[in-house]
Amino acid sequence: MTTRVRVLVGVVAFLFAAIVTRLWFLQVLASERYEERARGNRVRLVPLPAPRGKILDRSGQVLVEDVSIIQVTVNRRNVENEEELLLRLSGILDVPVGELTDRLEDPTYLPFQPVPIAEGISIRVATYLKEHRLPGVNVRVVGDRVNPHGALAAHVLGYLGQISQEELDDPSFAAYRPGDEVGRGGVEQHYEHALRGTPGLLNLQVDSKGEVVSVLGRRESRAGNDLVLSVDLGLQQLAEESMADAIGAARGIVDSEGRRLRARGGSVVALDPQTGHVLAMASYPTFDPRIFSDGLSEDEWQQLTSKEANFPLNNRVVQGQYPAASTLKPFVTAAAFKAGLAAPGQYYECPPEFEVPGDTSGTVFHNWKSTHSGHISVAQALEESCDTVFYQWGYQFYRERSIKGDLFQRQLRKWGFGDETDVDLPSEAGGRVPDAAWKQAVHEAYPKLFPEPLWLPGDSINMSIGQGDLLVTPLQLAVSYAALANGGTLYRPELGLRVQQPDGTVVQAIVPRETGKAPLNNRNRQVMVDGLRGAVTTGTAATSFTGFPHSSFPVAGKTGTAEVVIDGIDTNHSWFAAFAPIEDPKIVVVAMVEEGGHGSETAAPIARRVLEGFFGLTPTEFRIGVATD
Amino acid sequence: MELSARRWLGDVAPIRHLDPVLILTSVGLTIYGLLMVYSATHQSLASLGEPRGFFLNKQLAFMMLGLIVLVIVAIFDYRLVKVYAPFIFAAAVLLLFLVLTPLGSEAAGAQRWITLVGFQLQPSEIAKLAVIAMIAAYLSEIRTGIRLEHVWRAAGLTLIPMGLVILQPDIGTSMVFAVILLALLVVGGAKGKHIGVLALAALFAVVIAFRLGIVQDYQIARLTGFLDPANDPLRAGYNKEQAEIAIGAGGVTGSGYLSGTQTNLDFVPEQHTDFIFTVVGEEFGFIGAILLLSLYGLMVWRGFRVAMLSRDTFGTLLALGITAMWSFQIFINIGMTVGIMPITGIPLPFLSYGGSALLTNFIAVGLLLNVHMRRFK
Repeated sequence: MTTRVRVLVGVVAFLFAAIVTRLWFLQVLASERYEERARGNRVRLVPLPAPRGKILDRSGQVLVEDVSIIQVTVNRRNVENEEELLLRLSGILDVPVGELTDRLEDPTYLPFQPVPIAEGISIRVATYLKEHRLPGVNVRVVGDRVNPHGALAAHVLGYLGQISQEELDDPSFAAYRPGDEVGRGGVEQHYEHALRGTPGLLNLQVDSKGEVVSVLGRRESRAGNDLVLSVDLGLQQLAEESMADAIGAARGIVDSEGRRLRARGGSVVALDPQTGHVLAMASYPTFDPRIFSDGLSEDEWQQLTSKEANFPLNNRVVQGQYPAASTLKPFVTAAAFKAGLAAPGQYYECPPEFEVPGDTSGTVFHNWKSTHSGHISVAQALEESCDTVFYQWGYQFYRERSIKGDLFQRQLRKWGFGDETDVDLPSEAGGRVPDAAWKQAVHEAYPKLFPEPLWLPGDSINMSIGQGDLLVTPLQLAVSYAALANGGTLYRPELGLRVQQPDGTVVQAIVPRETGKAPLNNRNRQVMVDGLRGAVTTGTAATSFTGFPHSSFPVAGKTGTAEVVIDGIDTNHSWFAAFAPIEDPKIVVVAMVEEGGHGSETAAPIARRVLEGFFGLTPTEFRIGVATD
Repeated sequence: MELSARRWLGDVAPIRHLDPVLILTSVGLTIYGLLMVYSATHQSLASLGEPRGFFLNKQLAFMMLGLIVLVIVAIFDYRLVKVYAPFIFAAAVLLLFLVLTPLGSEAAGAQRWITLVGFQLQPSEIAKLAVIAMIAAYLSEIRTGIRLEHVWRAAGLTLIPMGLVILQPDIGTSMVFAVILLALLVVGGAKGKHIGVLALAALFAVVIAFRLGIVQDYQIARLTGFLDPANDPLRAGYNKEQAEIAIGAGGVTGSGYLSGTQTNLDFVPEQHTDFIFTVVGEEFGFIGAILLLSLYGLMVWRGFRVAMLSRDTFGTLLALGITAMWSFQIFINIGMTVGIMPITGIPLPFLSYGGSALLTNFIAVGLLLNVHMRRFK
């Protein structure tokens, strides 16, 4: 019997040892891990939202800011009788039941998430709702991004959208959480990290039922920094109005085939030629960033990204790529000077047509007008925009390719063409300066679309008047004209002027940055500027500038009429590029209207109004100019 | 008269052979338990607007009552227990039966209590001692060596109260009955192969029980939750998870008395009863847990010692049954809070809040003292 008792003693000792071993593990070896879990049990971290920085125009006027608004949400999981509740809310909020139902059924919210059904309600209504405690209904204060000027500068500003998974995986978004909003498009996106505030944190102790027992700590949120743009609110408004006017007017123009112009889009950009800072930037069609703030419906998104609506989200100033047409001519002139094909003081024949010597195919390159202008100077060639003079230079470039290679292209690229300007906006397009290698490459990639693999005389000739396969963005053109205006310095165009704290302390001044020097000497420049001045006073754009005070504000400008085929129809994009005052340039304007006719018809009048606005003159009423080149 | 005086004052007088270690240990454990019950309940009571010491005071009253009962139990000769064992047993079975009738009261899906003259009683607690007394009495009467038929009879007797407890349902306590039977058979001298046959029969019965659906879903869930807590942490495995977190977070020295966050914020369910050890673990840490286990070790050692010293087989079996009961309950209860045993509703002796259990344990101490005092022939 004693033996058996001893066996039992042994068993019990073993069981005790098992418990001690386990306790050793739990409390000595793994204690830290359990302490961590105990903390996780009782501590809840609640983020305190931080206001996003304001975006201001150069004089400090608010373009976008965060405001607190009262939002009503419904959590369907807690609703007992949905029909009855909606009926009641409809009365309280003064919104039709159908509308409330639609909002509640927004598929972007998960079934257990509270769905916002009304925003910006009054304190009185909010108090009523709080007092009556309808099941599933909650009232809360949220930050909302507000544009006091509505859709103004929508492309410049951008909008806010929910952070994507890719961004969350990106280390530069380490501080972000799912559901956070980030800037999309415009400076909201580019200056995301400056504008975003630092969310605060509320450290709460909760019990097993999740009820808050005490506040363990609180880290206040810090508002994001404000962004001051170089954009001038008044000029921006004028640019957008003029753009819309031009579109309206252009649609009244009937072309030589008897069709009305479609004028489906366009853009205007104004820069300070001495710094590269953007003074105004407008793109048409535009959109209202407010529709993003309360969730976009599928239809709305379709509308914003459809071909029918002509892609209103695109900022055509940086994303639109078009043939530069005659607006390229000053830079072709500069290239011709550099290559020794042209010289100041020389005269060139301006016939109605040009044929490649020895070409038997019968290909004829026409001037935009059918009369012979005799022998003209370089300045006159620019003033009249004589195509045939440029054809000769283009052909010369072609002929010298065996010795000088792609000199033509290299010269154009020195003015910034074919490369992004590095503006402080997302999704910028780089344009294109085509060359033999490019032509070969696209032929190999798409032999059916590009049957010709070789660089032909016609390619150089077309490029000499900014046609063919050459593409520029309006912003690239503005940067090039700014270089021409300031004596050859290429600046990185910038919308941002400075980043400052909410109290105005400057955090970062965004200084002008040179990105290159264009090949330009004073003598050559003078010839080109004379030509551009003539274009505005007596040349191709003269009718667009009738009555403009040239003596007080001398303008140098160039029209352009880009011949394109859209949807199988031959049509023209209207271009105009200018800077002023000539002696001490303070502004560069580039305007373009897609399918807007000739440069002098719609683009030049826009630019005129912007210049008038900039110089403090009363802008003349929008008036279509006479078609020239 | 003289004889009687000699009997009470002489060298072999029972009063001179009290086991002070046993008394001090049981009182020490109960006080330890009072501290833990207060810690586990004072905050929730306060938040309900009740006096913070409500549970503490009730348990304290039961401790006083327990000490009185202990003295009474120790005074008369334990061999009377052997004589009255069938009556005690019958009374316990009757009470267990009453629990299942409308006289019984229910809590958390189990019918475990009856109310007698204003007191809530949990008969399954006292029934454990009744079974020990009955089986010890039966086995100690067998002079011929225990044969298979005796094993069957002992098992049959045990099965009556055990079955009633299963019906409540209270699987944990019913397992204590099985362990008591096993320990008594082993020490009582049953042959190994007979115990083996009994074990097989038990296994068979368990399988049948599952097949017939006598075992409830939640009981299965608790057992499977033990195997895979991550599978359903908010339900079956939640208790186990929270218990481990509280104990683990205590570390070596613990968070200090009344300073355990998991305890104060009510993360461990049923903390003042079945999960009382988590308070020890969190607030007094590894050191406090070892201290508690040492007290239990001391107690179990004294129990075995009494069993060895007993003058007769009945005393040995009685002491051993009690010791086995405690050992098993300690192991299962602490084992479940540290995650090495499934969750079953077995209270921790002397620590868990509960009057019936505390009284039962003091009676058990009284019986041990009784056997110890009267070890001289």
